[in-house]
Amino acid sequence: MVADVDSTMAGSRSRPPAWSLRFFSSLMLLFGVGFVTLVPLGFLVLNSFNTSQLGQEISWGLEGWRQAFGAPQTVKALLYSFLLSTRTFVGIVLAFLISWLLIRVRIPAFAFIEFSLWMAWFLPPLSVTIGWIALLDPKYGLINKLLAGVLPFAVTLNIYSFFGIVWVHLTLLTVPVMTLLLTPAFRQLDASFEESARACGSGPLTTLTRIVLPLLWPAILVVTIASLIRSLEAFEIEQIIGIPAGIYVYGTRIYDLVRWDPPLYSQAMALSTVFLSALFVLVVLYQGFARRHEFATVRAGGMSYRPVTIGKWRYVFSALLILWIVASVYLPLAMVLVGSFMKFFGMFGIENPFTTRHWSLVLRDPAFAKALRNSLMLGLGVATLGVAVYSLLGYTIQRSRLVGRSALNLLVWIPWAIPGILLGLSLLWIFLSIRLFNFLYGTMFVLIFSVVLKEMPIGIQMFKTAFAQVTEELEHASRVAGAGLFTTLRRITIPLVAPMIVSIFVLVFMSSIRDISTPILLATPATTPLSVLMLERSVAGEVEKAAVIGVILSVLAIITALVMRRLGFRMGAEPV
Amino acid sequence: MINHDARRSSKPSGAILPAIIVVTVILCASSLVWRSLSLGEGSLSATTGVFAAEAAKSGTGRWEKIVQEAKSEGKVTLLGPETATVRPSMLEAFRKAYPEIELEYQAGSIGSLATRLRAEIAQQKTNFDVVIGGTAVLRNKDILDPLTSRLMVADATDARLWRSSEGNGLKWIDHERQFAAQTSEWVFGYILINSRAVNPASIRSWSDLLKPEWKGQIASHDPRGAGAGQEVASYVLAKLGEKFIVELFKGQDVALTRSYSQVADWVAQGKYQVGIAQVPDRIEALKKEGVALRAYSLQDAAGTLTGGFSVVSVLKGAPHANAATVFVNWVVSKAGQDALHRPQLYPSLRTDVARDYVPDYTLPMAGLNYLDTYTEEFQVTRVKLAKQLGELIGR
Repeated sequence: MVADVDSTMAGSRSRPPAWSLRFFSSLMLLFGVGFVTLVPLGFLVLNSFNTSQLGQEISWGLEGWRQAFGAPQTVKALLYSFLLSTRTFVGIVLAFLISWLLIRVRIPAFAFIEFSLWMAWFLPPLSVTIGWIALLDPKYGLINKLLAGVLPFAVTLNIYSFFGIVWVHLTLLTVPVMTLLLTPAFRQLDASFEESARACGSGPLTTLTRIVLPLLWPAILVVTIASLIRSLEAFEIEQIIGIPAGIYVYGTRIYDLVRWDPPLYSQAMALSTVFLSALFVLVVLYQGFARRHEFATVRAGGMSYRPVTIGKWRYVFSALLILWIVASVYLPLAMVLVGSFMKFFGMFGIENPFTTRHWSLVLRDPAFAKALRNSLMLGLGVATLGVAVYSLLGYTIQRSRLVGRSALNLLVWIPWAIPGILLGLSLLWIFLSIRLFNFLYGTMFVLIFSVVLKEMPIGIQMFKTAFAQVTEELEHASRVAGAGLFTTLRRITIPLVAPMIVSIFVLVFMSSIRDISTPILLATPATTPLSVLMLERSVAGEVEKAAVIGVILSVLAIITALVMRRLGFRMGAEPV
Repeated sequence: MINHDARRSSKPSGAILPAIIVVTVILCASSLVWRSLSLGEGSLSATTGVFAAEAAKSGTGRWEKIVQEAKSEGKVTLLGPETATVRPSMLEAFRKAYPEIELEYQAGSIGSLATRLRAEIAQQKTNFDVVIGGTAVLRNKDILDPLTSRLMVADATDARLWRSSEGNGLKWIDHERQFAAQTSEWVFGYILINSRAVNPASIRSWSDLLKPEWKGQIASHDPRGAGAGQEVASYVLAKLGEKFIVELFKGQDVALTRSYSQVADWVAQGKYQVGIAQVPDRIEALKKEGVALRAYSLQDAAGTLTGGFSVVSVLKGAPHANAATVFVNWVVSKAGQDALHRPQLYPSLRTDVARDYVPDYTLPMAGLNYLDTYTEEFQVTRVKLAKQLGELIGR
């Protein structure tokens, strides 16, 4: 049937030879994507062999590599980073289970739990980590004080530890973002698969492991790879609670080298090649696997959304999740909010510990209003442009017959091979050096472009999985019925992938207004966003003012998320 | 369940030709980019403050013209200290003095931004006019414009109004005495204790910190990165040697942090008894709330004479050249010094600026020897010491 439809459509109009048009389009697309991804990568690799300071006479050598990999701290930092990245595997198991409970089982209070997980991911890591310190410092942490008063035996929870770092990552970033990315895939899973399994006598657990899990493998893999790579790059949380514990990670080391005076770029760039190697291995494994395990889960004939029944267990899971949410999201969030009104964050021992002074200082600072406007422009710009670019590329890779799709599929992963701060540096150099783009330097566009590029892998891969889940039969049926490509996209494809569009929009919106490492070198006084302003405050040791900005960022993000969800579910198929 | 793979078996050969073409084109583009990246020093010659030199010669009329031109430029961009309270203080005071010129302020250090600034200057895309910071300007003199020729107002250049450890007159930290003017000088390298928990008499010298009772009781700003921790630790290394550094940081298990407030917060809350390399603003804020903190210098290494974020310089190719001149003349004035230093609790080197807000432990004491670290000579040593510190403390 597919072949028939193809031939019908192909013969319906007279056009230039299909192969030449396809070849030309492929070439243009490959060149565009190749340019924006390979040039920053080439800059990074070449400069790892440049022993001079950037901008000075180039001198080739292996000094950067020798110093970077010869330092004993590097080996230790690598080891810690890989050990800490194992949280990804714990995270994916939890996120898969939570997504299934929220979307397929529809446990009581699922909407509250899902929204809370979104919120967890929106919270600024810097402020929340300081919140956790106020709660779990072994000496003065509120929870430790409470435990000492309540328990008959001594138990001390220490945030300044390996497990402290894992806990903050898991609760704040890993599980929430993984759930956020997996839920749209679950939403696009036609329940008739599970119903058929149940009709054949399978229980919920068998159905979950034998039907649901295999169907969602591509999405699970993308999310796992994304999280693994991001965990190698992470440094903000480690910087605050890792250093006092003597835990020094890879991301911190790269950040230090770039922020060193004078910056040690060649060492930082040599170290970042580890990302490239890790990414290469993961992507090759993923491509090989995904090719054999890609299934359409939205088929012609409509979708069934009947919830899975697990009896009384749904209440037990709901209670457990609410408990987890309260402990891991609302407690630190409350701490950040309270901290922003404290004279000294977490210091309850002083007389009259509360004040509104930090709020008034931050809100009166003219830099704040400008940074807020910049953040909104950045967030909306990245989300809008990002969704357009990612969906176009995702659709092209997944659906089109363009030549060179495999090469394109590899190229779009490359931005993850470059740590954010070095991506910012290479883009800064490119925008300054190439006369054609020179006029854009110092504008908001450079920041928007950098974050769109940075988020490209996750955006495109998630769109690919969304398009893969929608069977092509639906689009073919539409075309046969006389609809053009754009009508088909507008009436069929886009509504079916609407939950993913909303997720990606919110995801990149949030990533862009929270991102510090990518814009830090690109932001000028006129384009500084709130996240960089917050970092400035933290660097200066003014954690209370950083908390104020953190609270404002969170509120901003939550409002946007709510609006987008409402809008998204209106335009798409809300499966409730 | 439909396996798409069966229908979309893309032929690998179809991808090879376009991929080769694209990679070739990209390599060519990269090489063009690469060639243009090599920004030789010659390209940095760009703009200098020629007009300012002329202006200095031609007196008040010329100054008024510069102010007029500065007003039409409309703004001046400053790369300034990260201390949050400095920004509003400077914005307000400068607005009062020159309401028609907007001060755009970005907190940051020239040290970590030098590469970017150098590239911007080479491409004539500079965003910044003036830098106020620490000694990092000494390593980046090639991107600075002479300041001497811009200091035109008599009030700014009167030698009788300035006094430093060097004597009367504005203190220049560069050999050429024209690029970087230090406007404050204070003592750093003191220790911090909670006087309710620690008797100051029990710690009189740095070697007292090696006593067993202080093991696990000391916190410091991390000396392995640029900043306050490195300033103090490199001084102690220069003064007391490698063995002492290892015995202190490793032997006494000193807790490290990157936060500029955490050392004071930890000592205030009793988590650690002794703090090293804590800047004064947080200490004083906590003391105001009744926390019994005490900072003092130790006998065997009393501390450094530092300038903190008080060194004023102008960047080459400043996009608002006249406004930059107006600004630097203002910042060395009495009002400018007060706006810059009061929020940081620094004493101005201008003799007519009040010092009532300055903590006593940051003022030099008679009979104690301090090392002036705001010199080109010490900065060369410091780079070596910083590297040595990383190797010694490791972890």
